[in-house]
Formats: sequence, C-alpha cells, structure tokens
Amino acid sequence: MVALVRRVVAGDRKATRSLLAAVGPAMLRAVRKVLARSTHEIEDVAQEAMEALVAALPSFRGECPVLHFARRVAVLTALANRRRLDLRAQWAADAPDQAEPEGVATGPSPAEALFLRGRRDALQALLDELPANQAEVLVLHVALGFTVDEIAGAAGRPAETIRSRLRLAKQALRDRIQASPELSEILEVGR
Amino acid sequence: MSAQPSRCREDLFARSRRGQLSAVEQRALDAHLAVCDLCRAAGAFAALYDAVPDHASAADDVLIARLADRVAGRAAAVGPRRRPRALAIAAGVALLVAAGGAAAWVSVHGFPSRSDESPAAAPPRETQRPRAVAEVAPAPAPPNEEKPATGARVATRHAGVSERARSPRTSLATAAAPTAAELFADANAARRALDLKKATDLYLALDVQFPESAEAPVALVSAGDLLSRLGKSAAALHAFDRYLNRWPDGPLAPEALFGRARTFRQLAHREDEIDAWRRLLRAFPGSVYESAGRQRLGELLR
Repeated sequence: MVALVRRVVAGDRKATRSLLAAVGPAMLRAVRKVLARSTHEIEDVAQEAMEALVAALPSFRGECPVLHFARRVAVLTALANRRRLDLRAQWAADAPDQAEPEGVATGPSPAEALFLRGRRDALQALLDELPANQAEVLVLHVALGFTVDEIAGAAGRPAETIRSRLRLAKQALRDRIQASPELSEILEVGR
Repeated sequence: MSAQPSRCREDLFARSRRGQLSAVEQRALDAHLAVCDLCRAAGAFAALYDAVPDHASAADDVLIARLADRVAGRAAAVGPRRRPRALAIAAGVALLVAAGGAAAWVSVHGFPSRSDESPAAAPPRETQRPRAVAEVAPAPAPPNEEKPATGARVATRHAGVSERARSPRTSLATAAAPTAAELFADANAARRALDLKKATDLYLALDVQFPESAEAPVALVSAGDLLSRLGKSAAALHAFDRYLNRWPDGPLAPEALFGRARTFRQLAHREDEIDAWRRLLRAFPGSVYESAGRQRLGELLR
C-alpha cells in the first residue's frame, strides 16, 4: 500500500484510481454515518473526501494504515459539511427523506423504519449539539476506534488536549442522555 | 450514579472498537464500564453509530468506481503532488475539509490556477455582470437595487448547465427566469461535474437575483470558495466579505472567515492573513478550523 501511495503522490492516475477504489467503501460508509442521511449530497461529500485524501497524501507519514488515514479524512470532511448540508436541506428538493435508496421501501417494516429513523435523528442531533472539535474527537475515538495519541498526532495537538475534549464530549453525552428519557430509550441505556 | 474514576481507559475502549481486545482486557474494560458513566455513555453512542444504517447498496461499487475515476482524472491533470512545506497533516486535513471541503486545501497548496488574475485586475464579479433587462420577468424575491442584474441575460449566460437551461423556452427573454432553487440546483450540478466556472457564475447569479432568498447565504460562501480555487482572489474576498457584512453571525460565518484567511495566504498578504486567522479564532473558538488556525498563526508569528 505504501508503494501505491508513492505512485499516487507522483501523479499516477491508475494508482490513484486503485487506491481510491480500495479505501472508497470505508470512506463512503464514514461519510454516510456522520451525515446520517441518504441523499445525493453524499456523493458530493464523498468526492470531496477523496480529493482531500489525494491532496493530503504527500503529508502522510505512514504512522497509521492508509485506510485509517482515509477514514479520518472522510470523517472530517463529513463533519465540516454537516452544517452546510443542514442549511440546504431546509429548502432543497432533495431533502434527506426524499432520497432513501430504493430498497428501503421493501426492507424494514414501517415500525422498524421509524425506529431506524429515530436512531439516525438521534445521532445527528448529538453531533450537532457538540462543539465541532468535540464531535470530531467523539466520532474518531468512540465510533472509529482511534486512540487518543493517534488523534493527537494527526491533529497536531497535545494528547491531554484531545483527552480533555473527549472527556467534555462524553460528559455532554451523558448529561444529554440523563436529561432525555426518549434518548435513553433510543440508546437502550440502562436495559 | 456510580463514582466516577479519575481516568478513563481510552486505550482499551479504542482497542475494543477495533475488535482487538484479549479476554483479560475485555474483563478490565467491563470492570471500568461498571463504574464509569462517561464511558457507558460513550458505549451507547458507539452502539448508536453502529446501528444507524449506512444505506450501503450494490450500487456503491459503481459509485465508488465513478468517484475514483473522476478524482484520479483530476489529480492526474494537476500533476505530482508536492509536500506541503509548513503545515502538518492536521492542519492540512483541517484546511482541506473547510468551506466546501477538501479541495480548498489543494488550492492553498498549489492547485493550478485557471487565472493569472491579480487582485488589482480582478474586480468583483458583480461589477462585471450585465445590468438588468427591463422586460425580463421579475424574480420572486425583491431585486437588489444596488446590483440589479438578472433575468434572461443571466439565464442565457448560464444556459447549458442544465437541460432546462438549454431549452428554447428558457433562453428567450420572455421565458420565466429560473427560480432561486433552480439556480441553486444548477450550480450544485455544475459543481458536482467539476465545472467550477459555471458553478461560480450560477452561485453569484443567485446572490444577485435573489439576495433575500434562503439559498443566497450558502451560494455566496460557495462562490467565494470556488473563486478562491479558481485563483480569483479579489473576487473571492469580495464574496466572503459580502457574506460577513450581511450575516456576521450567520451559520457559515466560520467558513467565510476561513475562506478569507486562506485567500490572503494565496495572495501572500501576511498581515491580512494574521488578522483573518485571529478574527476567526476570536469569533469562533472551537470551530473545526481552530487547530489549523492556531498552527498557521504560529508559523506566521515565528
């Protein structure tokens, strides 16, 4: 993979396509999860994330797997786009719920779909309520399994700063759960 | 509520998320979770994240192949990437995801400009736009008296972006002018197709024709972002400043401030760039640009 990265940095089109095809599924999943919606805007953001990855590869120091690096780029790109997409969704004809993939209607029952939507909305609300830097740390560590040191190294911040942000994010999360029986039910906390 | 331990087991939690825990480590993590409500909350968040469907489908392979091909083609056109001189990965990633995303970073670090336009030679787009045509059907939103422009001239000028715009009906002055939503959709489509020039023109046309529309703020910041990527620095600054003057506390104010800082960097206006970063950090501490801003300020003030 490292050799492939070198060829990408050198401007090899075939290598770039191969690398993006390899890490693309993970990047797409991360973008979809963070945006918590299904719309063709996903394609926009995924493309931006791929462009970002290619642009950032010259700085890639090989301190983590390329896939890890790509997922982080995807998460950051998606988080940065959330606010803009939320604004657009207020008026755009392609609002999230109108762009569910075709299989959904024949997939879960209405009740299941409602439950899934509740979870999606809950995830979206939690991410929106947190300051951006806390949301970033929360997704990278809690959801994707980045260590504090990995986040600190990639973000160029002291590990204690990252740890502090993570603690604040978790405190906000706990307080939100404790204050909302509805959220507790969705999260199945205490069962 | 249980007593909160002084320190969480982030190492174990991360390894657990990666599926790398041994049985002993799993027991240690379970013991920690039993007494740490913060990590239990984190665990609930992780479960929620896992449970939210990502709508993966068989069509994903096609989508990824299409995106990979598109991005690879664009990267090949740019040529070999050079290592950023000053910014580390963190700053790079933070920059690249900003205000319209990834390619913003590229523009800072050597994205080939399609224009050699200098700040002095680059009047804001509004001053280049044709004046209003009287017989054009009025736009739904009140026209901006300061910068009247619109209608058929703009619609004709941007014809070719969409099937609708190409149709004979919309190319005539007597036809209905595109709505704000239509312009916005066309601009987004052009941006997706990497036709940045058309996308920029459409975003700016939207702002001029429908300055009070809900789409205008996003269009303005998007236009600034694209103008910056096209190397039209003065016009980009004008777009960002226009947004900030109209919506100083707007939802996209951090993006507009970031865009200003990035554009001043392109122009190598050190003092202006310092002021821009400071303004951003002062107004929006904790934004996604904080890390990149502090790092860049450190470099500038060294």
